Amino acid sequence: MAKRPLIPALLLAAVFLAMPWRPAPAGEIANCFSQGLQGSCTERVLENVQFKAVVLQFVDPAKTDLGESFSRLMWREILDNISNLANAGVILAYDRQGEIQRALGDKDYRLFLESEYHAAAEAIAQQLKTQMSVWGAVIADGDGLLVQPFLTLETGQGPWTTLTMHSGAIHDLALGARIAGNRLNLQPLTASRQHLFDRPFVTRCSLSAGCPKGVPLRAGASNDSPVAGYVPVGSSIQAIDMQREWIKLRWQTDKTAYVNIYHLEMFPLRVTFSNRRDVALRASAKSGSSQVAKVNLDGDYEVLDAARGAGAEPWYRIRQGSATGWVAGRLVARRSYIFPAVNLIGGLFRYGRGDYKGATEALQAYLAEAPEESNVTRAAVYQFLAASRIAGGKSIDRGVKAALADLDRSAELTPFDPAVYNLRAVVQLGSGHGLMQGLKDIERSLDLDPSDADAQRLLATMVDLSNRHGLEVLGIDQDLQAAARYIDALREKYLRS
Amino acid sequence: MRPLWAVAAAVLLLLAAGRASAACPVTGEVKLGDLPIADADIATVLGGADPVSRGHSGADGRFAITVDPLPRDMQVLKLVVTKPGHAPVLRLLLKAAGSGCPLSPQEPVALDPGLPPAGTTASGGTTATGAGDTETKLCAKRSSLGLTVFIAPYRIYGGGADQAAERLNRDLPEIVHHRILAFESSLAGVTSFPDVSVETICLPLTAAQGERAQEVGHNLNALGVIAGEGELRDSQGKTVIDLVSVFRAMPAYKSYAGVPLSIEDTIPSDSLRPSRIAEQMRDIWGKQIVLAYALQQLASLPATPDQAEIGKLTALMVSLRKTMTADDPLLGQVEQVQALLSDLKTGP
Repeated sequence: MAKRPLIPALLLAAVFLAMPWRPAPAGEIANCFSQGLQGSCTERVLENVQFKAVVLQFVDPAKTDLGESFSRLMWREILDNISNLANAGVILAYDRQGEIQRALGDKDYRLFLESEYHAAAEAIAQQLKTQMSVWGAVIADGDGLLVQPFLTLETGQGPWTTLTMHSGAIHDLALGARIAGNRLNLQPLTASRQHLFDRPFVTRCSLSAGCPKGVPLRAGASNDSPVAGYVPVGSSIQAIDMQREWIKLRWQTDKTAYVNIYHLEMFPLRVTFSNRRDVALRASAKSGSSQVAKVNLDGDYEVLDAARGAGAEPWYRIRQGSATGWVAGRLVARRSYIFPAVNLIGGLFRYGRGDYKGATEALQAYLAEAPEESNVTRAAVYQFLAASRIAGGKSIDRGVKAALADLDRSAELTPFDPAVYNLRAVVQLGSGHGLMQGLKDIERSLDLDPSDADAQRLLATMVDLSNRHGLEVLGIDQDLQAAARYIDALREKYLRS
Repeated sequence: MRPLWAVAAAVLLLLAAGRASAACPVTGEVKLGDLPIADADIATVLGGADPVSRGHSGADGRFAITVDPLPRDMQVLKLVVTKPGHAPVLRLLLKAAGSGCPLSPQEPVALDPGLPPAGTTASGGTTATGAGDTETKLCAKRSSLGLTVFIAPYRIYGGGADQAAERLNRDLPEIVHHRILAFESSLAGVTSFPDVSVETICLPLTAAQGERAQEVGHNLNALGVIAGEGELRDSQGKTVIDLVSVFRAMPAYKSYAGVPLSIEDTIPSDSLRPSRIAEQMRDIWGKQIVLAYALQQLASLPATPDQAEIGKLTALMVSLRKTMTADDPLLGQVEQVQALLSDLKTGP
C-alpha cells in the first residue's frame, strides 16, 4: 500500500465571488410590475450590486390587505440583518395598482405566484437577476392569520450553491456538488393580526428637509391625508396594524394615526446574549448614561424598546430580574425577528458575499431559533453551514470535522436525498482523509438515484483519477488498491457511457 | 429417502390446511333506499383481472361469498355489485392487517334508483354515482380530471364548539390548497405538477367512515378525501380538543391503493385553527397528493407503457422520497410505488 505524506495545499474551497468589494445601497424599491415583468425598471434595480434578493409582495388570497405590508416588514428586517454587509442588496417588488400583468402569459404575477409557487419565484428572480426570492402568502386562519414565507434560491445566478474543492496537487482536479434544497418552504407564522405588529418601532426622520416639528403623523394611510400631529424623532410608537407602507399606531392614549414606515426604525423582537458578565444596564441608549444595574446576561431577552446610539449603533432596552435598562447592540450574539427566516436569509447573504464566519453564526442562529422548521429546510441549512465551515475554515482539520458533523446531521434529516451524500463525499475526498468513506457516499447517492448528475460527475472524476494513478492525492494512509477496485466496481454498476 | 417423503407430505398437508383455513368470508347487504335487493350480482376483482369470486344477493338482500386472502403485495380487493337497471357500484375492500383477508363492507351497498347513463361503467371509473351521492346532495361537482381533493366538514362534538368548527371549516380548504401547492412546487427536479384543486362537500364523514369516504371519493372522481372530527373535553381544568384527521387517496393501481393516513392530535380548544391542523399534518397532505397522483398516472398507463412516462413517475417518486425522514409515515407507500414502477421497467 502506498503511503504518502500529507498533501500540501490540498484544500481550497472555492464557493463563489472572488469579486471586487464595492459598497452598494442596501435596498431599493421597485414597482416593477406596474408595467409587466418585462418593464424597464426591472433592468435598473440594484444593477451593480453583486449579490441580491428580491422580496415579492406576499400573495393575499383572503384579501387581508396585508400582502404588501408583510413583504415590507420582511424587506426591512432583512435590511436590518445585513446592514453591515457590503455589496449586498434587497429589492422590494410590489404591485400597487393591482393591474393585470401580461409579462408571464396572461396571469397577474400574484396569480402566477399563487398557482406556480416556487417556479414563479424562480422566473421572477431570473428577470431581476437576483440570487434569492423571498415571498409568501397571507392566509385567513380562523380569527387570526397564517403567514407562510418561502425562500427560492436562484442557482442560475452563478454557482453560489455549489461547493467545489480544488486540489493543490493536481491542477485540473476539482470535486464539486450542489447544496440541496433551492425551494424552501419556511416555518409559517400564526398569530392575530394585531400581534403581528406588536414589536418595537422607533421614529426617525427620512425627509430630505429634516423634521423640525417632528415626524408627521397622518389621519389616513396616504400622503394626501391631513397631518394629525407630530412625534419627536426617536420616539417609540405602539403599532396596531399596517396598510401598505403605512403603520397604524395608537396615539395620545385614545387616538389612532398613520406614519410612513420610512419614518420608522425596525428592531429585533428578541436579542440573545452568550454568557456576558457584569454588563452595565444604562438609563438611556448612551455609553455615558448612568448605570441602572450591573447584570449577567445569558440567553434570550425580549426587546422592550430600541434606539440608535452613537455611530448608529442599535441599543436595546431589556429586563433582567427586577432591573430594566439599555444595553449596546455590540454585546448581542443573536437577533431574532418576527420571521425567523431573516437569520437564514442573512446567513445566505453572508455566505454568498464570502463572509463565512458571519454566515456560520447566522445559520447557527437560525437553526437554534427554528427548531420546528421542516426537515428539508434544516437539512439544507446544515449543508450551507458545512460549506461555510469549509470555505471559511482557517484550520482545515477542524473545519472538516465540524463540516462532516453538520453533514451527518443533514443526512439524518433527509436520508434519501443524494445531495447530502454528494456533498459529504466532496468534503471527505477533498480533505484527503476519507477516500473509502467518500466512495461509499457516492455509492449511497447513486443507489438512491442512479441518474443523479452530481454523483455521476463525482464518480467519473474518481474513475479518471484512478486511471491516471492519481488516487494518492486523495488518500492519505489509505489502501489505494482497494479504493481502485471499489471505483472499478462502481463504474461497472453505475457509470453511464 | 423415507424421512424426506414424510417431510414433503407433511409440508403439502400443512400448505393444504393453510389454504383451507385461510379462506376469507366476505359478507354484506345490497339495498335500494331501505329495500333489500335480491339477485344482485356480486363479484370481486383482484387488480385488473377477471372476477375471482362471484355470488348473488338473497331475498333479504344479503350475500356471502368466499375469497382467497390477498397476496402479500396487494392491499385492496374490488367488490362490484351490479343489478340490471341500476348503475354498478364499486367498493374497495381493504386488507385486514393480520389475516390478509379483505374486510367486508360494514354498511349496505346502496344501489342508485335510476338507470346508468349510456356508455358508463363502474370499472372504467367514469361515473357510478351509487349510494345516492348526487352532486346536489354532496354540494360538489364531480371532478372531470380527477385532480380534486374534497374536504368533508369537520365535526366538533361538545358544548360551545360550533363557532370553532365553523371557522375551521371556512378556512381549512384554502390552507390545505396552499399546503399542497407549496409542497408540490418545492420538489426539486420535477418540472410539471398536477393542477390540484381543493373543494368542500357538505356531507359530514367521521374519521371512521372509511368505506363511505371511499364511496364518496369514487363518485366524485376525487384524488383524495379529507375528513376529520374532534371532541371537546376537560383536561386538568382546561378545555382541549381531541382531533383526528384522515386523508384517503382515491386512485388505485391494480390491487394497490394508498393506505389511509390518520393523524391524531390534542390541542387547546382556543388553538383550534386551520393552521394548527395544517401544522400537525405538515407536508403530509402534499406528499399524499403526489402519491395519489402517481397512482392515478400508473393506473392510466397503457398495457405497454412508454418508458419515458415511467421515467417521469420514477423521478417524481425519487424527488418525493428526498423530502422524507427515515420515520416518515408515507415512506413505505413511496417505496411500494417505486417497486411497482421498477416492475414496469423490467417487465416484458
